[in-house]
Amino acid sequence: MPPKTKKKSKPKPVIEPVYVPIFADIDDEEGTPYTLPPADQSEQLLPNEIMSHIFSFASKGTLGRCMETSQVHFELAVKRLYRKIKSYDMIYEPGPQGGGWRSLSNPLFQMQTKFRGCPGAAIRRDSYRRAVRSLMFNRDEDFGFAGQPAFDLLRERFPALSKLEWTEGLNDYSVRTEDQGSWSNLRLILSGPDEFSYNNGLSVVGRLTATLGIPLSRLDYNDPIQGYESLDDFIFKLAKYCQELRILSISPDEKTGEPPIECYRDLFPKTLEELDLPDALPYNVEAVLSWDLPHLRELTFELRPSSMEDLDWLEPKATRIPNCTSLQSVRFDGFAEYDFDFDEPPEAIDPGDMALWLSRTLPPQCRLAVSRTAIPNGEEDWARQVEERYLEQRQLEREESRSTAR
Amino acid sequence: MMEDIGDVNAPIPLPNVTSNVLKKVLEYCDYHKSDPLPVASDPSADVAEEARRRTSEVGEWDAKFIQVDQEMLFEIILAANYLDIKPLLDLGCRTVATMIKGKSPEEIRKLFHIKNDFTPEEEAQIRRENEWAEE
Repeated sequence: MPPKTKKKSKPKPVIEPVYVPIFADIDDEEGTPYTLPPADQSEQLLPNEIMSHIFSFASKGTLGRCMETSQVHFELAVKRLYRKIKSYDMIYEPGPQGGGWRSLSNPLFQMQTKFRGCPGAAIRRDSYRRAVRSLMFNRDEDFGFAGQPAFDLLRERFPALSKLEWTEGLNDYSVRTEDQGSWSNLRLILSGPDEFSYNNGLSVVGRLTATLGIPLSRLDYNDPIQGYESLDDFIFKLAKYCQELRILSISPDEKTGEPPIECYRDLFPKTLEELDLPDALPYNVEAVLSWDLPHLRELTFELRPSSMEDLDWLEPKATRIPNCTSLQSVRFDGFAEYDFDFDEPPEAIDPGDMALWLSRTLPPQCRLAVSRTAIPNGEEDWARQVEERYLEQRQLEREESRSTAR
Repeated sequence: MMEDIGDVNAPIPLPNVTSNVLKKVLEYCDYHKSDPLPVASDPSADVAEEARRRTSEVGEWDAKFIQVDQEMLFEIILAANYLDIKPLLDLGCRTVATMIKGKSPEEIRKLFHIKNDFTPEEEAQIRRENEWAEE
């Protein structure tokens, strides 16, 4: 710009350097004038304001690499980068109480204003920024960062904050951390198969996992994408973030034409400790237990009533050789109350047959609990009978094993 | 820009613009002299205009015009910034953004003569944090 000294009618304003916090910048409209932190530009070919302008045309990946070049460029690029991330709003203002997030009563806001104009105070190191960045980029297994002052501040500001939710309206899915005090559970809810198209599916994975950038410790995948022609690709991408999964709830539904459970195999890492198979088929349970899941401790499943008729589930199969030596506890939640196909209460299945199947399917060390709400055909005692017959069956197996050994 | 000068009879100093660069700038201005000027209106329109500008395609003439060596390109950008010629500044910056696409941090440093002032630990940390942003 030409010098302003020629303008005699007005005195030239003195512009002091102002250290503008990164997250204050986010609120700025594009093009709002700002003053950048001073930098040693003795060798740099282009001044920072032009570098910033160049960054406005750069992609996220390029900005990421520019952030690695120097501290000043980190600041310039990260500001542009955050502008490209559309999801920060939900993180920035989580919930209705977030209305005062930027108000002066907000301790985090006060903290950032305190840094304003303090030479040498690199805003990138302040707690405010760490707090928000941790929400977005923490790669630890647990999403929480309890113990960190930044987290405490966040909790202090929003005492009622119980979850962090990020929603993409058009695709109707959300990622949320549930409270539990530790912020350790991350839930993925996918709904509306017809709301996913090939491209959206890819972007769901990309934005979900990339934006939050954390490996999942818990995945609820209870509404599989039906008829999704790129399911393999989707699962492949999602699986990258499931390598440290500890808790999985998944409901593959082959009866409605879903791909077999083997298609979801990559969502079952070796780290898995707890597994829930709601609305499953007997085969699903058998298949999963044949996989190498050395840390699986707890299994919960619910069967569909008609599945017990359709499948030859009492016939011994090779896949019924259990592989899960770590599995200690199994909870059978009974049958889905109504069959989707017939809209009728589940038929009574002989408790002895049920116990036989369970004892053949589950590893021998497993304790079994049958939900008392499982009342096929109104037989109140059904659940207790299954448990008793199961124990009898186990006892019988042990005796057979002893006699064979002799 | 003219408003900034104040005195309409005063000369406009161009101490940072060489004759070669000025020639290029004038060539650009001459070609685009009949282009409509961007109208400053409400802020939201500015944002929309900004977004449009960033995603719009570079014209054939502009693409050819900006095919210059790196030194000239940087000087054109500096001149456009100094002379407040926004379309030319955008064109130059967009070209540079294209140049750095796919380049490693070290290559970017070399291109702009940036001094790396990160500690190795900081560098590694940022690299880890940035993995998600990779295309």
